[in-house]
Amino acid sequence: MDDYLVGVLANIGIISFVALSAYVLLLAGEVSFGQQAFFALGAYAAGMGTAMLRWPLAPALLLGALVGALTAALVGRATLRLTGLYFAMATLAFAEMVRILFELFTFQVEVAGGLVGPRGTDGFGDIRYLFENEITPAQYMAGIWVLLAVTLASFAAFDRSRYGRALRQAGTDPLLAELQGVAVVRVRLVATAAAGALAGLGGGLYAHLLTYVEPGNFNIMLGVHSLAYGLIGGLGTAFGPVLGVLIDIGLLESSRLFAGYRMIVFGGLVAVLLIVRPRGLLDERAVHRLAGFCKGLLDAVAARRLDGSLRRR
Amino acid sequence: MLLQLEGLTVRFGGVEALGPVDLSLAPGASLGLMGPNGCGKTTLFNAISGVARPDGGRVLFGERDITVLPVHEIAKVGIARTFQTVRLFPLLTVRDNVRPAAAPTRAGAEKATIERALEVAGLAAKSNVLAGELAIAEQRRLEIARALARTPRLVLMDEPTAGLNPEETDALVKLIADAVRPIAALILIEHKPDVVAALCPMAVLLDRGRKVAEAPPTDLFAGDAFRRAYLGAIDGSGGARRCG
Repeated sequence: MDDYLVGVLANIGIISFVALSAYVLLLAGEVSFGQQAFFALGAYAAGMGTAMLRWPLAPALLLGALVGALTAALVGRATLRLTGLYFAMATLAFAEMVRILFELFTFQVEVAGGLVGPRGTDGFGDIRYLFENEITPAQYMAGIWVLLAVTLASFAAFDRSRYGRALRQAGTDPLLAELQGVAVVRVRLVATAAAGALAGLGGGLYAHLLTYVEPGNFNIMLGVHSLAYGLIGGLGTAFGPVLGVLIDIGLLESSRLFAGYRMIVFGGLVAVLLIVRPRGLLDERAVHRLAGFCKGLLDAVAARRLDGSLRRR
Repeated sequence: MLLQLEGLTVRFGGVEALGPVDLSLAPGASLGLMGPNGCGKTTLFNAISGVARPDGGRVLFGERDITVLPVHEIAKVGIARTFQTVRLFPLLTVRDNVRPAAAPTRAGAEKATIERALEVAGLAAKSNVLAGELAIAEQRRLEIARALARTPRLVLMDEPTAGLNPEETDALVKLIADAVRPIAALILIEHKPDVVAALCPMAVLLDRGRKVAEAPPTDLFAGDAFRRAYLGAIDGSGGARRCG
């Protein structure tokens, strides 16, 4: 496969995780401008796992997700009473705090005769697990997409469960949800932690793909984009934010169709969709209609197969 | 007693919106709640369901004091509620609106309860439609189905026939009489006298947050308190007034 294509696909897969992270909070009815913070924490934690602690990749990625989940739970606990604009501001402030803390964070250890570890604004390099273990970019990209596929399948199952329903109920009408017996505060807290885990996992994957991260990678633009992906792609299904990433990175950034105009087209797309389809392309109505259509198709196929087998007899 | 309110009081800032109100309701009983706009009917519902924190008094349900329980805990003791302006999850299907939040004790039993609730509310054929796409009368019935699916012991209904035409009103009254009354106690806020008379053997009149009369609906409508509450004093000193 073409190297460029492999790179783009790996990138789409990784950014999908932070887009899904923002999506979970959108479902909970919250707008976060700070998911890049958990992405950063995951990137640093997972990078330290393999480069400094010499862990294998899987536990290091898990560490990244865990750090993301724990810090998100703490932030969630602290912002429990905040909603709307205030929650958005708090998350943004937290993300900037994290970014600046990483600019001040220097912690290096000696590994195989050299110093490895985060070095403030100079970033954190030598996260060379993929090279050292001879994992090719194509293999890594495939691994990312397997993880993403598993995540999306889990979302599909979650959406059909009572917990998925509770999350959507708490997100659209918290008081009514509460009156139906949903513990809205607990639902929000769990959603925040899960969102942190998703971003943390994405960050870990990102650090290993690039082998080098620096605090500047995790600025507010990443947070704004993550949020926009769900709003473009749609909130009706977890495929929505991934569709948003595909449109942005796959179409606008990588095709060079809109070279130089990418941000203008992207911003315009967000503005137009917010007016004509405020819950994105794959919104609840579209997903419901699609599901009905697919079910009808499957039923028709099943009926025909039954018909055929009866005729053969 | 199923429900007992003891000196229940709710203040908004310095204004006493409700109370102190004493009220008791036997299991399976049904009580009409009347009074002019702003007299505290909905506030009473809010105080029982935990949405408004009482500033004084107690709410006892069964023998349990539920005054300060969180809203979702109060929902779980068996109190369901419908709203004056229909309130549902428009982007979820009818069935997903009706499904209770709590984990079922037996999955089969939950499914049967849901199917039955949809069936009696006449929504079985629409169970897979998004709730926001229903007509208003269907949405009203969906609110009732949602209450029924939780097998409540008490249902609080806030003007369930508001916005319905006479035929739809009759159908809804029949639904409440046939499906809700046999399984749960009912407190019904309603301005239409026939609806109250058809569903409730007793009715309470609230005026300026106080309970001013409690009587069978027809006696209540004929009484002075009723006229005073809705139309103001008859001696000419007050004229028509509004409260709250």
